[in-house]
Amino acid sequence: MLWLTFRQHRAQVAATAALLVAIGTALLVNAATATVDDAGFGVLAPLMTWLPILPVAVGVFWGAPLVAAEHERGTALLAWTQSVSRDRWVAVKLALLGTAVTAGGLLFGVMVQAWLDHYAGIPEANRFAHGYFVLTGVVPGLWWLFAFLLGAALGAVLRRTVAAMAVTVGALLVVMLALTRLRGYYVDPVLVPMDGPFDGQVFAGADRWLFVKPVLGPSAAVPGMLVQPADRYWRFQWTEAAILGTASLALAGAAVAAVRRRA
Amino acid sequence: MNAFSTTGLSKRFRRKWALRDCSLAIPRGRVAALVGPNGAGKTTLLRLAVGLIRPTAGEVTAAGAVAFLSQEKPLYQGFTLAETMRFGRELNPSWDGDLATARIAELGLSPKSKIGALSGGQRAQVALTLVLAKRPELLVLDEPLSNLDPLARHEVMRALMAAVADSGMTVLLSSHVVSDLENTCDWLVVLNRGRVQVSGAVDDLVDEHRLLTGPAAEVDAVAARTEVVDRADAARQSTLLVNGDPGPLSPQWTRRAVGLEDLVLAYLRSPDAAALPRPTLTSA
Repeated sequence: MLWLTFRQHRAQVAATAALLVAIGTALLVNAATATVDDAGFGVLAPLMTWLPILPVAVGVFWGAPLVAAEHERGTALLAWTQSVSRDRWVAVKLALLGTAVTAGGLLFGVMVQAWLDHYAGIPEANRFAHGYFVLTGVVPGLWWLFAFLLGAALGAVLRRTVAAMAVTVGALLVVMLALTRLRGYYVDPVLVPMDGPFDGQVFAGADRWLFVKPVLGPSAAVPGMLVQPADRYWRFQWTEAAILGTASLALAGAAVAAVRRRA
Repeated sequence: MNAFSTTGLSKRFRRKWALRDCSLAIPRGRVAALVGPNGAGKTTLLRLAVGLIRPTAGEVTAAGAVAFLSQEKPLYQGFTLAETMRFGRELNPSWDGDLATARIAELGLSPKSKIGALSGGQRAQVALTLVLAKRPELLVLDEPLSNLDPLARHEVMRALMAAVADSGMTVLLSSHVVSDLENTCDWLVVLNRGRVQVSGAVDDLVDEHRLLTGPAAEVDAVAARTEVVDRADAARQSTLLVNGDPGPLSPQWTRRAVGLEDLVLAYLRSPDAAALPRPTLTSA
């Protein structure tokens, strides 16, 4: 099964490895050539805002075809009539490929964090901001895993690769937007009052906050900003990891159940 | 000893019964042909036999390892021949590598050739190799000859029969072309509208059935003395396909042996007729 899994999915493994090498090289070259001032950050930062959608590619190319393509090409009848039970077939594939994408996501997170560390002096290089929160720490590994299992479960249920890909894209975007909204409230945010014109530099660590929302207008008793302080970063990382991990387990269960179902 | 048996086997897809109350047994070492028109439930029965689907009611019992080749003969198009054989080896502990290698050599194919580049007949042979090298005790084949040209049909059948002779395994294969099976199968199962109409050894069935032709005036009297499967009445003359012996007949009557194809057609034309083994006491 180990050989079969690698043989059937080596294209995804190779493409993802190549992508990680390309991203790593770009980050490294950018950091290495921009030591004089911090201008290099501005060069790559606009491109970095696109990377949070990488899990969509994982769901579409790793997840959706996993079972759906076997149904579509009729090879499910081949794969599931061998001595290896279909329970084992799906369990091994989900476990091996799930481990691979999680490792890929974690490696990606380490690379982005190293790049951010290089620009420690720039306020925008904030790992707790929404854009970078999902690119650093343990969260990218879990996002990749979640996307993979979402695609796999949808493919196992729908039995059509293209349909599974389309639904995976839609579902992932919805979950991403939902978690971006929800993220500020994993723990009650802290109100930072504004006395007179707000000056971000007044507060220690202000440029490493997760900004939630402003509290302004006549109804606000104390005008200010709702934020999550910088020292909550890891607590938030593990909270989001737990949410995605639990959802991933449920999706893995759904994928296994769909494969086991013998109508 | 039966290699394969079902009792009261039924399968319903949504509201439609694909198979109803199907009970049959195939003794070990037989090459059994499952015939019937399209939509009779052949594929459903075979998929139940190999556990690809679960019965709505009833039971399937197969003694020992089962291998299955579906009608589409699926293979991974991007794999090479060597990789396809490795697939068989990795997923089957009983894999017979020597048999696989010998068969590939016999086909004159390079292990490096891609499955997608093979002809339909070659692909069928590779798919057959994949199931034979598992060394199953029961080999189930769904329409193994469909989509093959006459030469390939002959060669696939010949390869199958050689493997049966070597291993003594039991084969259950479906077809809607009876002539393909005439000289190869020694057990016949006729499935019609989801029910088993005939199940028995080909030799016995041929012995027990006969074609009687005689004057129309006497046909009712003759028909009453035995079990009529199919009846064709012309102006003066009638033809009966009967199961059993009608006893002495007047000299105007002729009796002839019946071929497998005529036998199958007669049953398919008369869905209410049946030739099934009568319940017998078997010693355990």
